[in-house]
Amino acid sequence: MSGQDVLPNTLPTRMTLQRLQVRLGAAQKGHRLLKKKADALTVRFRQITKDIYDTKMEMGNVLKRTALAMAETRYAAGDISQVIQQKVSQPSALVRGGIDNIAGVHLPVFNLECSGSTSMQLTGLSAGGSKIEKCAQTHRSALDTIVKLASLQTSFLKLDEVIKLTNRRVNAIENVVIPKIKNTIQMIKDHLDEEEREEFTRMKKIVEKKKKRIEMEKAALEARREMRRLEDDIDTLALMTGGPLEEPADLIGGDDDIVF
Amino acid sequence: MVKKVGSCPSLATYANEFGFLEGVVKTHYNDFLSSSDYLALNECENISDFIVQLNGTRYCQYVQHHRDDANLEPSVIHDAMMRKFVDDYNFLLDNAIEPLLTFLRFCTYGHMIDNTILIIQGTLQGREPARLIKACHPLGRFDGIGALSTARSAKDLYDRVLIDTPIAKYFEKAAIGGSAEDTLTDSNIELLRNSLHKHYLEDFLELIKELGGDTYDEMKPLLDFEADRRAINISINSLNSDITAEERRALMPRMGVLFPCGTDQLVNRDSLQGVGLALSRVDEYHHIFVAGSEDDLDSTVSIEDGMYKLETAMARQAMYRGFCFAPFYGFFKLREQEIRNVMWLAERVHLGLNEGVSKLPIIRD
Repeated sequence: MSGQDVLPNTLPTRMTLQRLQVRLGAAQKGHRLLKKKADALTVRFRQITKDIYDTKMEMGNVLKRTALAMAETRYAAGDISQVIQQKVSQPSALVRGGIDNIAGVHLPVFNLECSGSTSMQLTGLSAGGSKIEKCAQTHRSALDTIVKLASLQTSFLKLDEVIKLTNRRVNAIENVVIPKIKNTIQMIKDHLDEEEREEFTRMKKIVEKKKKRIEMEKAALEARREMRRLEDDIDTLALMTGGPLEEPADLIGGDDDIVF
Repeated sequence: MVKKVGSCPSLATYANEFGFLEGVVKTHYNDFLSSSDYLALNECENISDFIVQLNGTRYCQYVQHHRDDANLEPSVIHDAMMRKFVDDYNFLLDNAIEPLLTFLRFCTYGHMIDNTILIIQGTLQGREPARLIKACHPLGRFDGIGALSTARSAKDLYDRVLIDTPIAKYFEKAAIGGSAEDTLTDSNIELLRNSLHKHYLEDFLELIKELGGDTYDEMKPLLDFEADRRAINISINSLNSDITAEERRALMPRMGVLFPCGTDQLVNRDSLQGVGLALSRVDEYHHIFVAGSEDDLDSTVSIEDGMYKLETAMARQAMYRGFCFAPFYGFFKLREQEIRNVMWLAERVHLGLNEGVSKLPIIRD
């Protein structure tokens, strides 16, 4: 365990430990939530990918149909594109932007609004009117598909970005923040344990020393008591023999029976 | 209103005056793509192939510089064909003398009307004049066309430009219940266009009446057909719109096989079946209508297709005639049809579809 895996500037105290534990809980909760969000986004992402695929396939057909309808119109009514272009005064189809909320992510949504504009009306009155009408219809449906696809594609890009971000956060919490907190907690715990052990040993030493001293004192007391008793004994002996025992050598010397 | 263009070209001097041009026009018949050309074009993979194929036809000098380009659009072919059409037409025009000159010019008035309408519309919308003129049909260009877009108001437009053009009189006639200046608004411009075409057709009929003789005999069915086609198309295409019967009647040419009884019936019909009923007296149209009215997305034959087929057949007949002006008109119609045909094929080829040839009216076997 190297030094970089722990939070910097942490004092190994119980208070810090408590605080860190709260933090760990929060981090784990956040991780769970983010993971859930990432999952939800991924589900949506897959859905959108599928939709894009479908729409693109459809798009090929639709565009082919429009091109065909256009060719038929040109055949029947001549080149009407200029006529139509010069006639248009206001857009008959508008794309409006909206917002879709997926797990707190705002995705742009485009909606096509077709107004029943009459700029087309009576075009091709003398030739190809029905073809022009059909052509307009196919183009309208093509436009619908295009707008749908644009909406999906934009969502796709945005979601992709958000999913990346969320996953990065999830991974960061999972692999950096949580281990770091855990390590710090472990470190503090170790530290505290160490301190405790030290304390214990010191206590033991103190107790030992105290015991020794008590014993020594006891022994000294005992010795003193013994001495006193001896002194008492001597005193008693002196009383018994009369006179204080001043010269024990004399005592020996005075006895004739003692032979050295 | 046709100014005196001289009476019918007499047979005695016809060959002398118009024989050369008639010969030229009849050789143009051989310029048309044959059915084998169409089949070959239909087999093409892309537009470059298409151009290689066209290179083997009379269009070769108009398409050859496109040969090596990649990513060609079908419009390239349209432009090339149109250039040839314009060149051929201008050759005829340069060598023609009255009354053929007037006749030839009359053939282009339809495009002129469309161009004028286009520019009026564009001017009303405030579009770029240069682009508008570029978008015009080349055969409908006239001297004052550039000036059309300088006009700021409808009155300007009429006073400065239109009054000098041959179609001014149609504008005058089309202005029902008002002066010619009042008609140039955005709302009724499509009605105006059709009204102009109607007066143009009626005027054309006047012209060939004046020319008389074989020209009248041969041209009358063609113009009648044109008028009837207009009437039928207008009545079908206005079924779902809010055009009143009176407005509709005003757009129908007062000529044609259907006129007056059939036209009357067409005016008052408000369903597709009704139109069919009105057409039941004329066999050709009824056939076309029956074949085309089952027109849904899958059907390959529409009323327009039927009309084009009939028109092609009639124009081809006209090409065979001699000592009258009908071959010139026939050439005009056939060339337009050929451009349509080839463009249709080119667009199919461009889309990668190769089954479009069957519905086209083939001009030459």
